[in-house]
Amino acid sequence: MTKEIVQDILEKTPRRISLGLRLGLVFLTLVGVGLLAGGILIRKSTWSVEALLVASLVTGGLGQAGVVWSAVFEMTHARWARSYRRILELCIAFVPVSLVGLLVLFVLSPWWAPFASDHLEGAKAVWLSIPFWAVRNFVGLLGVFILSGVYLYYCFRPDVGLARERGAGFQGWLAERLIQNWKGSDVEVEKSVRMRARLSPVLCLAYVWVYSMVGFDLVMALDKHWYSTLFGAYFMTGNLYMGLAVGLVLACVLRGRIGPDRFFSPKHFGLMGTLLFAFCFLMGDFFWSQFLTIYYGNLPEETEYLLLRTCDPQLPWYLLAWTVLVGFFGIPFIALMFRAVKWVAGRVTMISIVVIAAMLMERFLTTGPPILKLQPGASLEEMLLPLGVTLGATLGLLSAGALLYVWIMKQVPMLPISDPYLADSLKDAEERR
Amino acid sequence: MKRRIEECGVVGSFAHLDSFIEAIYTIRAEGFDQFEIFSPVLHEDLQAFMGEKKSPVRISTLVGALAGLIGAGLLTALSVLIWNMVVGGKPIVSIPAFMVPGFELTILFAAVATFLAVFYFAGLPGKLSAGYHPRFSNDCFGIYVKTSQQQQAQIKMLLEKKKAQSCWLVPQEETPSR
Amino acid sequence: MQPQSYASITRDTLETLKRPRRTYWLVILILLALCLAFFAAWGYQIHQGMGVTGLGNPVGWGTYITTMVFWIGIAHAGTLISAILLLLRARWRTSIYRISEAVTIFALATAGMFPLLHMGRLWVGFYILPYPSDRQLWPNFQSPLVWDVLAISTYLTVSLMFFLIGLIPDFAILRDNSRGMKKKIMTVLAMGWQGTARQWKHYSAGYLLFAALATPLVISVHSVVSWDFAMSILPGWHTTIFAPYFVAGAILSGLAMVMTILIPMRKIMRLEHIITAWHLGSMAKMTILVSLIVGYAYVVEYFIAWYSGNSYEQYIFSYRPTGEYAYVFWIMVVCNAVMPLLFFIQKCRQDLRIMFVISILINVGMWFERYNIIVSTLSRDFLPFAWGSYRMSWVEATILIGSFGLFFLLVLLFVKHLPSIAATEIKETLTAPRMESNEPQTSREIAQVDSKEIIS
Repeated sequence: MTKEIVQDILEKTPRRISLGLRLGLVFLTLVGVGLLAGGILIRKSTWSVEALLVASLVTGGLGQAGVVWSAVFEMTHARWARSYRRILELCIAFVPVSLVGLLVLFVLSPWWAPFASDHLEGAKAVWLSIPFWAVRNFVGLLGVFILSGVYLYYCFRPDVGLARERGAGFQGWLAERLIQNWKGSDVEVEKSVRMRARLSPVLCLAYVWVYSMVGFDLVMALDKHWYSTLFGAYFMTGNLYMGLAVGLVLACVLRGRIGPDRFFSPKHFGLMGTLLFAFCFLMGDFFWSQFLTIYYGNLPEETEYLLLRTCDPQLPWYLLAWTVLVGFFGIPFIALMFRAVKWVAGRVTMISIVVIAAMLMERFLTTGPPILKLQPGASLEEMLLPLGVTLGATLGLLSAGALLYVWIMKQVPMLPISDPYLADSLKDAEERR
Repeated sequence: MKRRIEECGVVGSFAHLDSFIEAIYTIRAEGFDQFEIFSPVLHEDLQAFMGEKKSPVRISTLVGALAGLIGAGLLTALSVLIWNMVVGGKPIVSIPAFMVPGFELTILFAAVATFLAVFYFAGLPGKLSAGYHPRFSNDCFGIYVKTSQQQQAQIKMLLEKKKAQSCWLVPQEETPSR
Repeated sequence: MQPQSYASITRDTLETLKRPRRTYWLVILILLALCLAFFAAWGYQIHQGMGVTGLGNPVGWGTYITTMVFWIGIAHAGTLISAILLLLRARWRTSIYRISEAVTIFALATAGMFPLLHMGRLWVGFYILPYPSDRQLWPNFQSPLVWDVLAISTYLTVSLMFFLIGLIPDFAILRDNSRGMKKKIMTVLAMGWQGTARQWKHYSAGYLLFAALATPLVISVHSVVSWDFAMSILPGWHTTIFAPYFVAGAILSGLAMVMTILIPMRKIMRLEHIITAWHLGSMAKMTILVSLIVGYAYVVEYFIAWYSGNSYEQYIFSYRPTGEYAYVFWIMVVCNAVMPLLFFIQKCRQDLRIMFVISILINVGMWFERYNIIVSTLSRDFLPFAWGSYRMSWVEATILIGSFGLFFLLVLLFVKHLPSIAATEIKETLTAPRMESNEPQTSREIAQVDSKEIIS
């Protein structure tokens, strides 16, 4: 990494966040939290529970996935993806917000959890007993969050330290803590690279196991009789899919403001778009594998879940199911085949927004029926109104996370200047192919 | 190898990519645009000489894929309709079940179309050019400028000036050393 | 180490095709004998009828189907390494992808024999193909078995075309560097390839498209194989994770088989500087990943069987580790989910002997995995009166061992008669020779760039 590039990055890194943006985020947070708190405390409505559950799953899922992507790039030595690293790593800011949301849900679970009131037998009685269920999931999520924190310490620390050595002052509470006992960039950078190499596989493994469990426990288990071996993998892959999409949206918004433009060339967007395409295909594959097996088996305990969501004409869910399928698979699959979409930041960002919205609806579709318990003949509004509340709540939690995001953003360089491969990602951009 | 005698030109063989590319630009600048280039590898620096247009192979793939998809749809649906009998509790025309043959045949036809298109557009099978030399598949880059006999000397000089490893005229006066 | 150049790569490629030593022919003879045993046992089975196998009621699928799934699985590594890693821009694939593609084709050819073997009356095998007959009899396209026929034949066709396309520039190298009969054959095979700009343009476009087509195909093929089981409602078979789990298992076995072949091959053919420890180390890392996925599937299957409360599911999953076929289950778990984890230890990724042993163990484990899935479920039907057991007969055992003879015979013939290292693509990974700063790279240099020690 040449000194000029580092200097260039440091000069272009923003240190101030506009007041308007901050106020906007605070406003959205208040609206979201208001919707949720009002609904839960005053009306005891299942809408708010559903909204909080989906909002927490989406916010936490995409946040955690961001960090996991950084670890994946680290493990696979993906040079081209280096410029995305910090943008994705900072997504950790969304996780604590979601943990708070889930904590509220766990505390209130005796009231809303579909399996809380029923008499369960056998394995389910053990696995879904409320204290065990709540503690297990919360501890798991917290554990992955803490592990991410340790991993991120070794991501941020060398960059903040190196920036200071080069005379760029990254100030703030976090920055100060990050560089305590700094021993000089030579030693520190090497140590961080080593620690990241060790921690990244551990983080990925922990993510896969814990988030599969969350998929089984917080989504699949809501339908008391339904089970599917693939669901955990499908759930955690969905988070990774969202994480990529969020990375692309943030890269589009932030490019040019967090460092030189060259780090987010059309080629960079193209490569990330290809990865998004791969995950689109993977999600489609998982969805299809699950669907086809259930369709063929035609077993009552399995098909009930699908019938309710995809083809019961008495309920509005099937409309949402088709929208979800088109949104998370159809549109991105077709659009991302074309270079004219993948290589243009604005277009690939549009597709990413479609993906995030569709995944939000997917979470709503998978968790909604057992919580909202719509009766046959329910109108479309009975589904759309809670969906609207969910959207508001998700925006609220995302805004709260974004406030935290920008708070961290001011204190660390937004491109990983100590990363030995960062310069290589520029080479990629210069290639014509 | 038999070679057409009416063809006339100059071949330059280059050991280095940069001098090779320089030579191509020079030849172009001098107004000779009837030339063929040979390379042992696909190098991105050579893409500038591959023409602006994208390869039509993509179109063939798409056509093949659509043909496979439509063909599979017709094959599966029409063949069950001949014997209109419920098997395994599925509808006669059960779309989820037919997605699998549809997918496989889409890929199959797309691949066959791609395969044929590569051969067709790359001119395979075909005869070797009069300017081809075995070293062009090994470690040398080559340019074969088709020209009249009068201009041969000028081009040869140009190529030699651009550090061609060896140059020879077509029809060949002598076999260049391997 | 000698720096590599375009010329040295050509030289190395030609070197692999030199007249083989006598031991080569000796090994070929042994493999031929195994092939002979394969076909003799098959002939005996045709003459005597299916009674010579251990198949019967309730276990109607046994060694043949197990072995078919095993060989199809082996085939997957080729497409993974040649197509998926090409799309993912993994540089370590170039030295090894040709041999992996050959593995794909030979493994598929071997696998293709087993449905015919299993069918008994192989002369009516064409009934399963969709052809317009006078009687208007069509295969049942709702049946996963028919999907399987379509998927595997598509896979074989596409892999073969992909393989041939990749070989053309290398055939041209052989054409230009050989004499006599060989030159004539290579001239026909190279089809007039001369590496012109126009040829490269269409070739590269086609090659990328092939990779893009092969990637979803490879995933679909083993998914379809898994659906042969998962579309039923039998406990232990009917489960949604089967498709991704089978795909991961296939890639695991394929990677292991490629390692099993490459480790001795690079030594015998003196290709250590082209297929370096770094290449094999990268494969080992990939192996950890897929092994973890397979291990994940093992655990999740157990969890859901327990969680579901379905007593049939619970029974089959308790029967597998404790019942008649417990040894099969434990071999599977240890070889597929535990042994590959040794690759987490750097020494195991560097010591090729350890790597070789682990790769063989994975191969063994993957065969037993399919045996475990197929036989244990069939032998324990829903009702106890329909329970039974299965034992492989000597005919099936001969055919199983013979199939290895057939596969390795094809591989060995390939490596000595066709370019088993992708010369042209390896040249592409080198820095092109230039007048200025003309520094050829060796594979080791590329490897070093990848190692993490480099810090600016």
